[in-house]
Amino acid sequence: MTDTAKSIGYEQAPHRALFALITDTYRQAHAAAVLWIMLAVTLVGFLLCLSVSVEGFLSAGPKEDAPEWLPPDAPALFMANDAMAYLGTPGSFFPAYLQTHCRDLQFRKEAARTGVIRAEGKLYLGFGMIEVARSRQASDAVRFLEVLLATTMAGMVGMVLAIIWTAGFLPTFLEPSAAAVLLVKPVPRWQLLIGKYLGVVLFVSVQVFFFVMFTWLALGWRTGVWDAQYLLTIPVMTLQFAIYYSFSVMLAVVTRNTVACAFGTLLFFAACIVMNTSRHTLVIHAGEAGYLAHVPRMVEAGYWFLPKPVDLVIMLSSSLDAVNYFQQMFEYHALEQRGALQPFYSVLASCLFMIVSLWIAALQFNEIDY
Amino acid sequence: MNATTTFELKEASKTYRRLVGAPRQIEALAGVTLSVHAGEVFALMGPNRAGKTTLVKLLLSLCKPTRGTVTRWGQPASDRSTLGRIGYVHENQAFPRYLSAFALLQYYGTLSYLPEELIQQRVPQLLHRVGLARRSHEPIKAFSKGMVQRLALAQALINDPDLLVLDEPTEGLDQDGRQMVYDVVAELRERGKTILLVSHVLSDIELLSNRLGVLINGKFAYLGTLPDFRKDPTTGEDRSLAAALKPFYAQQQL
Repeated sequence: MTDTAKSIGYEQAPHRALFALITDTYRQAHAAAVLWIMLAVTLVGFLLCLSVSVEGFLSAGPKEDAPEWLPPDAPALFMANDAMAYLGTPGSFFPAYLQTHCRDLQFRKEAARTGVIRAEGKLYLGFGMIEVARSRQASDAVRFLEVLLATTMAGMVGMVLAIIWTAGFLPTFLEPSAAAVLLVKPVPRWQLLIGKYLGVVLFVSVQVFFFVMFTWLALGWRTGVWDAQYLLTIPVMTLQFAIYYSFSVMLAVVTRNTVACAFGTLLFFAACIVMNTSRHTLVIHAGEAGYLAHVPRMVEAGYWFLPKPVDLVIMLSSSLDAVNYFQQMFEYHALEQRGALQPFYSVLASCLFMIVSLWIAALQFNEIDY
Repeated sequence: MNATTTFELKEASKTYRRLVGAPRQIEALAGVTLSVHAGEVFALMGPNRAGKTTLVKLLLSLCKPTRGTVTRWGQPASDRSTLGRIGYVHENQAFPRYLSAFALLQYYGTLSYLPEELIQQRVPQLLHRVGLARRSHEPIKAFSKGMVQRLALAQALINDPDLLVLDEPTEGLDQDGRQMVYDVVAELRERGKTILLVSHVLSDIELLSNRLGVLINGKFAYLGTLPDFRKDPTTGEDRSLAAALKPFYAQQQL
């Protein structure tokens, strides 16, 4: 407490000021109907998952039965002998349920005789009205749906919607006729900005939490498959949003314009995806070794400088074993094998970008005349 | 500067730079020097674009001087802790429309670093004082302009300020509301607080202030007491404030 503050009996309580700013963000979200729109999206996801049912089992059959859309070496469809070999591989991404099944002696004999393990699970949506995927074992089908929900629904569609819906929070807050009185309070300017930023990120994280938890509970209740890995979507998507919202904060301080924040951040998000994907594509096409010689330095520098949205999705997908369902994931798996995807440094670099963005925004906000 | 000086500007200048349009630089304040002491009600007057708002912004750390210094209670304006002793009524205040008057005062009280118990004690008292007690839990979006102005005064008083800055405080208020502002100013003056009043309403100035500054083209064209200002320099007779202001306002370049 400063002498001045002491003399008038005030306590400097930054945590209370931060809490007040966070609470205010919730009220703002509630008033702007963003809260209800996001909860409506969660409700749609919840109902969709409530309508899911699965059935399925593994059987042995001729290898000509393999569906064309599956990658030729997809682990969900193993040649019997390979499957036996996989069972002994520590840390392989061979699904646990399949391992358990293959340990069944009778099944092994059948698989060995016919030549292929065939997953014949089915996934239904709309309470059995729509059949979505074939050739999957029951829990595998649930995992497939979770990958789609985590990477496509939350990771892409959800991210874009969250960027748009929250774009107006800070420009409204920073508008001179609204901000002037707040800026005359003893709270440091940077704290006002960070408080609002934390408020928006926490608000979105709670929405992500609701979406993931409710879809997880619905899927678990309907299918009996309780896949805790899916819950990783909550921290990963919150971090993803926090990174891009820091860029939105920077735009808000400079422009105080909602449209500029929404479109600017979306463009930036798209640019990061393009940079991230281009770099990985170049690495994949560079061959087995020495990828750095084939990737232009500018691209490599851009990759490390900018946030890496695709990397976060890959990491989330990997934890969900998405490699089993999508051909593309095999290519990214190749990235890891070549040492071109370093999860720790990728996340660290993205977080550094977020911190630098907020720092620049705070410095700029401190200098701006009102 | 002495112990009772509330705020002081020394040769303070502010130049705004524009990226587009001419002129590229606008000197809003040109080397202004002013000291205001505890217990004073200082009225700041001047035509549009004379620099009144800029002076208030410099005092409240809403912008930084291009040259010169600004101090509050002897501390540089960069020391934000002294802002905790200030209440400010903005001329075009836009409060978050989703908040109620009660929630707004709680929110602003917290940002003023007031203890929670003090906020709980002061908020109902202030709402009662400005005549909003009955509608304290309604959202601000349902408020009339006059009610928002009353709320603006209440939020400025939440920290029991030692310096109250009133920028057009009676705009949009009915006679009852104006009287409320006058009462507040009179009470604070009696308690030795300082008031900076910026207004175009001459009756407010005449009724409330004991010292006056007239800004023209970013400089003080007059700085002194109200009776001296009203005295005709040629005849020595007392004249109306409007008549006294007329020759000054004619000098302002728009």
